[in-house]
Amino acid sequence: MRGIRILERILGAIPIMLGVCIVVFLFMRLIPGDPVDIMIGEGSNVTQADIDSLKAQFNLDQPVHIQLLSYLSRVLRGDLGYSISRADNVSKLILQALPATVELAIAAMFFALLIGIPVGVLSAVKHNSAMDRASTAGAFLGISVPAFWLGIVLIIIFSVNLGILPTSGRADYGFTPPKRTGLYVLDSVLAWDLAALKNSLEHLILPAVALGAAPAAVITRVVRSSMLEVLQKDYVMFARAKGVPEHLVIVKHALRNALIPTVTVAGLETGTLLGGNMIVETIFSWPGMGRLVVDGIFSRDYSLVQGAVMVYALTFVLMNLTSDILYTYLNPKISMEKGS
Amino acid sequence: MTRQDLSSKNVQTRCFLFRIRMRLWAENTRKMIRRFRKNPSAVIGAVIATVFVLAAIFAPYITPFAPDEINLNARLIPPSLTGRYLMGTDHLGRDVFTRIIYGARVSILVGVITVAISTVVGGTLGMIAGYYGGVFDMALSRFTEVLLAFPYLIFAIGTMAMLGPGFWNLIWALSFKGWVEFFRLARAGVLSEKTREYVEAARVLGRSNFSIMVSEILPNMINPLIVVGTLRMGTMIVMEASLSFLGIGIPPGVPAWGSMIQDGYRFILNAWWLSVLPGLFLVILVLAINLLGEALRDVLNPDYFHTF
Repeated sequence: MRGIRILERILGAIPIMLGVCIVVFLFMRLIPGDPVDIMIGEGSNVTQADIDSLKAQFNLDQPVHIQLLSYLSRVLRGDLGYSISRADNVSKLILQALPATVELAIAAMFFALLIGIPVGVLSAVKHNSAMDRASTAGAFLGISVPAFWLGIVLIIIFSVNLGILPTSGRADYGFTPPKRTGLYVLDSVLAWDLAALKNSLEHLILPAVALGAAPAAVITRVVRSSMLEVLQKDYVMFARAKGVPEHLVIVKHALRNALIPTVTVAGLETGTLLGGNMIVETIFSWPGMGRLVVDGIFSRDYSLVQGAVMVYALTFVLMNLTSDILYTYLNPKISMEKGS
Repeated sequence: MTRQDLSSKNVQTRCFLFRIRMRLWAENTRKMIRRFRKNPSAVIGAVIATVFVLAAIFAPYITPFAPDEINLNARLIPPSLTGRYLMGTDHLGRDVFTRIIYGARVSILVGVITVAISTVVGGTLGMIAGYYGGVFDMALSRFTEVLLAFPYLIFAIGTMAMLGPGFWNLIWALSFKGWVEFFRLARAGVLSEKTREYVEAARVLGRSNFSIMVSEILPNMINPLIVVGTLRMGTMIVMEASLSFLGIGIPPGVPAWGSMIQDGYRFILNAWWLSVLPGLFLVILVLAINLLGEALRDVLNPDYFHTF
């Protein structure tokens, strides 16, 4: 039963991905002005023949639906076009930038869970206490503070005034670990280079906190409310009546069930992470995909922007799908409902 | 009885029903206002938001400076409570406090206009789709699923990259995905309400579809739209600031919080106030809006066990 449900989800994601590709394609078509004119730029000496050959090269002389089909087939083959500003293939550029973005996103999510779960559990257990109120206020602040401002404030406090953490980049010159996965923290552990590990962690902390604050707030709230709900359940009361120590009741009986909705929310929050990452990467000069897009916008490099936006959207769909599937696995109710 | 009598009776009944309806409505509103006033976060949120709106409207009367008044003899003066510049000056000697107040205009306008467009468009389409169903509903629902696959900020950045900076471009870029949430809320609301008895009754009485939708279903499903609409104003304001921070939102020259933070970021080493203070006002306004939205959720649905 579970298998069928998961298959349903996967099949359901395919038309959405197709739709994403079509919307991104339409974006490109809706730019004011001809793509070829933009490619050529103003004031250069080109003949009509050059323009025609460029148009033929990008299928721009064909009707729109043919262009769409050829675009889709290129995307399927992993060809996202050619970046004018960086003179390289968009797919290659994105693959190069991806590890930096992934590392930052993982660190931010780790921070969010590290804060969100314990604080959420504590404020549910000590419901209506001063600690609960403080965490509610903190969570409120967390969702209201924009990542870019938080990033700047963190830089001012920790880098400018205290001078303990670096302001930009992934590692100082000479501390870059040998490339294996592209994730600096992991690579430096694999190479057992402790100086590089320390250096890359120092660079990672501030951007991860700036990016993870909003998801941390949301996760705190979700954990708190689902813990409150679970703590009312009969099986928790039964465990207590049986004489199970309170901390075991909370961790083993209550938290495990309360974490089910958290998984879904954590998956959905990757959307926030992906969006915030452009901003945070810009502030901390983090050489990831966000930087790539922002640079692409300013150099009017549309194929770069288009390709990156598509990768962002597809990642988001995949993350939602994954959290959906995880939810199906974690929630025993689903298989029982279908099975009976 | 003649036909005349019947129709006059009909009018009488209608008037009577209308009076009952108005009285119920007035009583409900009174109750809500009472609940609202008892809710401290509602009052705090409402007061702060009102102060911001008033300050934005009466900006020229609050400050002696113009937002673009350059004074090269007074560059990068730090904030002081007693000095001429309450919140200091920027690298061109412009008064930061003045620019913050004028910047509130942009933020508030963007928040209000995008939410207004999104609720009206999304709410109307969602009601129609939920009420009639069919191909229209299916096509729109699929389309919204595709739009939902884009993280909001990335969608807005992509759109702004194509459209270029500008106030109305920003409004369109944000509204183009903003209506989706309201569409889904309204659609779900109509779907759960349209099989209720009161809708059946109205249909038996021969009321038109339009009148059933507007005067029967809408009042019963509008509360979530109001709550989410309020909360989204905060989201839109942050979104606008993020885009302006990246330099693709409000065009340079117009004072907006996001672009002020961006400008100040270059002077982060010696003039912290340039980017910290506009952001602080942004946080306070968004916080007030979120407080207001959460409080409205409690006031409008007292039984609702709210999560976030």
